Amino acid sequence: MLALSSVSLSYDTQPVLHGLSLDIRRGEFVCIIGGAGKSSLLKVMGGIEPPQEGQVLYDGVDIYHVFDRKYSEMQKASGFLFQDAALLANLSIFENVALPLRYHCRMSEHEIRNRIFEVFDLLNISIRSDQRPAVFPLSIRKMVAFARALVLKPEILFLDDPTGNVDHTARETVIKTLLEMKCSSKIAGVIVSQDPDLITLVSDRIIVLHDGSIIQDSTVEKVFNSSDERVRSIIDAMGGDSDSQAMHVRLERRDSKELP
Amino acid sequence: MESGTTENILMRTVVSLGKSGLNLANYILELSALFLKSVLSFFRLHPYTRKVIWSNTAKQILFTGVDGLFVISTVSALLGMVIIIQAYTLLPGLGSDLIASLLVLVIVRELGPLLTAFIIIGRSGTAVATEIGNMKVSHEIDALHSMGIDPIRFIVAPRLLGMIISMSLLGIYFDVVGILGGYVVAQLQISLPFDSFLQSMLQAIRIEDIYIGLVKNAFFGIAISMVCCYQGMQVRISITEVPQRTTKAVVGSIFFCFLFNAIFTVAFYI
Repeated sequence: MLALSSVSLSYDTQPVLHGLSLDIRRGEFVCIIGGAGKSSLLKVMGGIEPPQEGQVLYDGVDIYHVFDRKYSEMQKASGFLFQDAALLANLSIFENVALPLRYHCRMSEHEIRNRIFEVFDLLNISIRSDQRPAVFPLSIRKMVAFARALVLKPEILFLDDPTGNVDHTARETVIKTLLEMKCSSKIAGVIVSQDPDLITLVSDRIIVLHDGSIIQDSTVEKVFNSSDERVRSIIDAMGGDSDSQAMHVRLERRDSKELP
Repeated sequence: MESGTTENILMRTVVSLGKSGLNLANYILELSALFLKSVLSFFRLHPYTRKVIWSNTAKQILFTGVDGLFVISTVSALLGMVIIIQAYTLLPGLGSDLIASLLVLVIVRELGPLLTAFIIIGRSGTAVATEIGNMKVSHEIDALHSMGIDPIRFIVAPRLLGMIISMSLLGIYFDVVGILGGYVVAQLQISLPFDSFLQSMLQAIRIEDIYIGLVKNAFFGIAISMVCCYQGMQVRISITEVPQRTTKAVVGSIFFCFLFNAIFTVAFYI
């Protein structure tokens, strides 16, 4: 579905990603963990940050070398959740979520309203949607941004730290929603996270980044049991020690689809 | 030794001038490219996308045009009054014909468009540059990309159109209020009847003055919107870049307004 081929990225002269190649299959959930470059990699995959070298292929088409209309169509098929929510400050909560629908779809006001409240229900969002994002805490803004990412029924989701800086209820909702989507649809997901519960419960595969390179691309069990020192230190920093009882509990929860 | 130093200074000056020239040429090219992209983005729009773009354009007209009316009215009325007061101090026996010619010359041809542009730069240009700069820092522009929404179509093009329409209309409004301000002072000084003032105005003003004023205002609108949007878009990661870029937007806008004003004056009045 999505393939990266020898992708390199640098900001000014500072290299961030070095010749990365990877594939995301339809219906697959992949988590990216590790050091610097995770969010940049997500942006490259999400069609936001063109790499200096390499290609990003979506169904075989290089997303950075297509005409505007095709690019817009490809972006329409993906949903992106930013770490800081990135809601448009001068639009209300409702208008933020309605924007992609208004821009891309021929829908009546009634249909737009129905679709938005359908997604709000899914994510347990019950706030005054005529207010601007600035009046709400980051936790709510992130949930609204998640709703915006889902509103066009994307084929692939890019989520940058979806459970970071959100309250317990919101975190639970995010994990539950992702698990449900994973089971009931063919949607794919790429998630940058430091949350061991989210990673173990949701991901089919984990990509470990270190100094802008992939040092491991494997299943949850293999990554959490890795003997590589660099991987171990990343796992330890997340509080995801593989030897502990906690890890086994998490894997059991994943198999039984039980929420943390 | 001394001649070597002089040569070095000369060389450095030439190199520095060359670099500045190249930078300016590059800046103008990038602004032109942004303008072209913005114009092209109005074409081939879906009807539902068009609705979103028109809504943004209307908001820009409201902010730049309608909300700016009070400042424009005050400045233009005061300018008209001051011109006539100063004219009376120089020529106490000033008649209605000369008053009309003076107002047309100073307000309609030169100061009206320029002062309107300056007010728009201060009110709306800075707001546009700051808003876009903040949107860059808070990843709102990235969010638009992620939704498949072209930021040029969604942000820049409506501001371009909104600024052109607002500038053109405000320019005419400035002229009218400025002339009326001048008339109020003239009325107080020599009890000038309105119909004879109007008669003199109609004789003094040429149709060219009106359309040149309109074209000039439209070009100022293009310059202000493009420079301010461009500078806003140049913000990269830090909030501290926003005021720096806003300052550059103001200076750039003023520069291009003076440049266009000089070009139009030379082209149409010489």
